Formats: sequence, structure tokens, C-alpha cells
Amino acid sequence: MTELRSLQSWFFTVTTDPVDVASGVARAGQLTLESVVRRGPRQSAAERIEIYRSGYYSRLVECLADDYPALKHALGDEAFEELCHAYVRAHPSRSPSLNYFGRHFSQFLAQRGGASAGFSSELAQLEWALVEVLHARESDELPLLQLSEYGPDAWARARFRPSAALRVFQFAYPVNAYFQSFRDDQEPAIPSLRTTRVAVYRRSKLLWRLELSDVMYQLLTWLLSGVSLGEALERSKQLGDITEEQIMTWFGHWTSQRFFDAVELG
Amino acid sequence: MSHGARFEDLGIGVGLRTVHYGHIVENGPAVDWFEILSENYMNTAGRPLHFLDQIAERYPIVMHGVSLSIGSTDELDWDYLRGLKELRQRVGARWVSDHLCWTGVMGKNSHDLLPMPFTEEALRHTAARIRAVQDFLGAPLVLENPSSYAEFAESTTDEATFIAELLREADARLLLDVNNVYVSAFNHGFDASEYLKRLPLDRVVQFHVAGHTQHDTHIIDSHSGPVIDAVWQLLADAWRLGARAPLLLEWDADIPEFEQVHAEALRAKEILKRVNDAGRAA
Repeated sequence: MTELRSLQSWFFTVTTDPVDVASGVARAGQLTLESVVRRGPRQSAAERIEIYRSGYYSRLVECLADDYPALKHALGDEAFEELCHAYVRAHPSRSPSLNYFGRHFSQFLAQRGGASAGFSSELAQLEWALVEVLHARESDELPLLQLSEYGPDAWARARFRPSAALRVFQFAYPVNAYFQSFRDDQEPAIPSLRTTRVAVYRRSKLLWRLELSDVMYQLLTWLLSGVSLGEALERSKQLGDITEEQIMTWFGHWTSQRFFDAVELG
Repeated sequence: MSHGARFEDLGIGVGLRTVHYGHIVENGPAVDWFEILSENYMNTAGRPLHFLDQIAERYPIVMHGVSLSIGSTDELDWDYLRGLKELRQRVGARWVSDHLCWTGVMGKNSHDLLPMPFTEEALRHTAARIRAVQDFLGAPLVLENPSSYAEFAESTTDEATFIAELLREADARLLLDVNNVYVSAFNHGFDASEYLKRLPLDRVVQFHVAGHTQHDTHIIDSHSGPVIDAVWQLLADAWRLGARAPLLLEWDADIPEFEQVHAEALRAKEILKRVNDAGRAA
């Protein structure tokens, strides 16, 4: 009688083999297929095991396709599936949850290289941000009315803690525009290099993507990294012809969209 | 340690699915209860919980998992169990269920419900783990008979007998999925009615019904499409044999509008009424 542990190790090895059942049986060693799995009324032992093996890959590919629909569109079904198979082999799931199974995909694409790897990796980064933000805790509204009781000096010293439901990126490609075209059922071509910046965030049940100008991106990045509001304002004004009023309008919008989780008044 | 629990007659429920969140929250359909896929609400602090909290305020919730991996020879995942316990408390889940299966080994997860060998070793091993989980949760564990596509040559008994002995040994309860009985009976060539008779029907605390995908040589438990008559018949058979429990419809592929899913679940009322009427007439 084979020990349960050995049976399970054998079964898992065979049903996750990337080639086929015969290859898995050879890799698992020790036991023959027929000594482990009974023939069924209409199927051989190999055909029965193949249901689990093909299901393993199709299930995980489907999970990645759910997380990366625009990337799948950009690469085409066949190339995407091939890539997913390679990813599953490189990063098998070790978690009871599939929520974060695709978290290494962007890095995986970048390391793999090849044609359009830079664009694909950035598009994956954007799509993964949507997944992360979907599952992140949303910040409460900042008590800005109470803050108004403080004077300008206190405001200048204010530092902001970023919301868990916010991601900010600077991309070498216009991946957000590509994603939007995809969402609009257009047939976007893989774009050329053009620096873009975007904030991804969630408000209540909705996910948002906000294109940022260079100055907006710089200001927001400073604020999110703990630079005080006064210091960030001063730095922003040096970037170009930007008024304090414009900056405060952006800041007000970001606050209303709950980009910040907490404020510390130095 | 024995874990007493009250298994209410919740009526006829529907599996909660993401595509129906908006409809349920906005329209409050007259559904008796919802079953949630536990893992969809663990490891998240975001939108899934945003909806679940609202739904749990209005409807009874039962938790149904796919990753407990109760039959695995890996260590129990205590982080997972802590998450399960927290979620149960958060939504006031009436009970927690999972499947009689294993999902991975050697630290890896297939996210599939893999079949158990029906051996003495597997029984003792799984019973001990069920008891450990029940002690941790402070509640009985409800296990579902799985659908399967392969059988182990080393099994020394049949699935129904294994389940009966396991649940007795561990003092656990049964979620009887009559679609799974139908699927496995076709795939392995056993008699579904005889299978039902060997089950501990006094331990059934919930039924599942679902659609499936029929192929020439086998059936896949796809949870797609309406429930076929033969599966409803198995439900009626189990009811006739004395099993009494709330029922839930699972629909996971090509999911239609909520009202269609709910209407399919409500077909159970008519079927069970016929069984009850026939019983009274006899």
C-alpha cells in the first residue's frame, strides 16, 4: 500500500506536468499510471488524469486572463496562453487564494524580454494595479474641515499618508490610453514610446484611472513620499508656470478622491 | 470535543456571484439566503467586502470554501483558517463548508478539488484534520461530496461508505451535492441511488444542485446551465430517504440574469412538494 503522501505527490506531479500525462508519469517516477489510477467505464487511466492536468492549466490561464484582459488583447490569444503557461511553471500558486496569483506577471514579462516586452510589462503593471486597488482598503474622508481651524503654518507642515487604494505610475508607453481604447472596443495598435503618468484608485465600488501631467505627477509623488505640503508647493512652482491656485485645485481633487489616508500636522 | 450547532432550515438559496452584486444590493430580491465562496472575501479589504457587508445585513449567509484542502498531507494552513474564522464572525455565517478533497501538496496549490483515495490511512488522516479544524472554528465542519474524474486503484472502499465512516469518526456534517453524485456516478459507473442509500443522510445539513457539461465519455461539474431532471430526481430520492436540509443552486459559468438563476433554484420547491404529497398519500 502506497502512503497517502506519496500518492498525493505523484498525483500532483502528473496533473501539473506542462507536457502531458506520460511526461508527468515519467517525471514522478516510482509508480506506474495503472497502479495509481483505475481505468474508468469509458476512459483509460491516462484520459481520466488528463482531465485534471488540462484543468490545472486552463484554470490558471483563465485567472490571468481575468486580471489581464487588455494584455491578452495586445498579445493575441495564442501568445498570451503560451506566456501564461510559462508563468504558471515559473510561479506555481502557493496560496489558498487566487486573488494575487498574477502579481509577478509584469516582472515576469520584463525579465522574459522579447518584442514589445517593455510595453507589455507596463500594461501588465497598470492592469495589476487595478486588481490591487480593487482589493485594497479605501481611506476614510480626511477631516479637512477640522484642519481649516489650523493656520497656514500648520498646513505648510502637513504631511500625508497615501491611501492603500491608490497607485501612481510613470510609464514609458501610453498604456492607459491603450487600456482605454481596449475598453472602448477599439483595436488599438501597440503604441510607440511616450512618457505618461497615471493614478489608479478606487472610490467605493468604482475603479478610476486619472492621467496626470508631469507637474501633477511630481507633486503627487512628493506628497505620497512624505514631503510636507509647503515644501511640495515650493518645488512644484519651480517646475514651470504653475500657480498656487492650480496646485491647490489639484490637491483638493485628490483629497476629495481620498488619495490620502491620514494627515499629520508636523 | 463535540461542537453543537444549530442548522436552521434556511429555505432555498442562491450562490452569490460577482455579476449579481449590483442587482442584489439595488433590488433586494426575495431570496431566502446566499452562499458565498469563502476565498473571494479573504485576503481582500476592498470591493468584494463592500458588497458582502451590505448583503450580509439583509440575508443569512453560509460560507462555502474550496481551499481548505482537508485531505492533504501538507500541514493545515492556520493563516487560512484564521481568515476563515474572521470572515465567519464578520458576516455571521450560519455554517462553514468545504469539500472532501485535497487541493495541493508540497506547498503548491492546484486550485482544483482533487480526489481522495478511499483507504484506512486517508480516513484516519482526514478525520484528525477535521477534528482539528472544528476545534479551531468552535463549530462543526460541513463537507461536500465532490465530483471526480479519477479513482485510486488503492481505494479499499467506495466513496459513500468512506464519507459515512469519516463523518461519524470526526462528528462532521454533510453537504449533499446531488449533481456531484450524478456526475461521479456517470464518470465511475456506479449506481447513484445505491450511493445515496449508503450515505449518512441524518448528517445532511445542506443540499447543492447545479448544472454540468456532458461529454461522450465523461461529465464535467461545470456549474453551467439549468439542473437536469435526473439531478432533480436524485434530490427527490434523497428527500424520500429522509434527508431534510436547505437547498442551494450553484451557477458559475455563463451566468444568466439573477432572476433566472433564482427561478431555477425555486424549481426545488415544486419537486419537493411532489415528494411530500406522495409521502402523505402513501
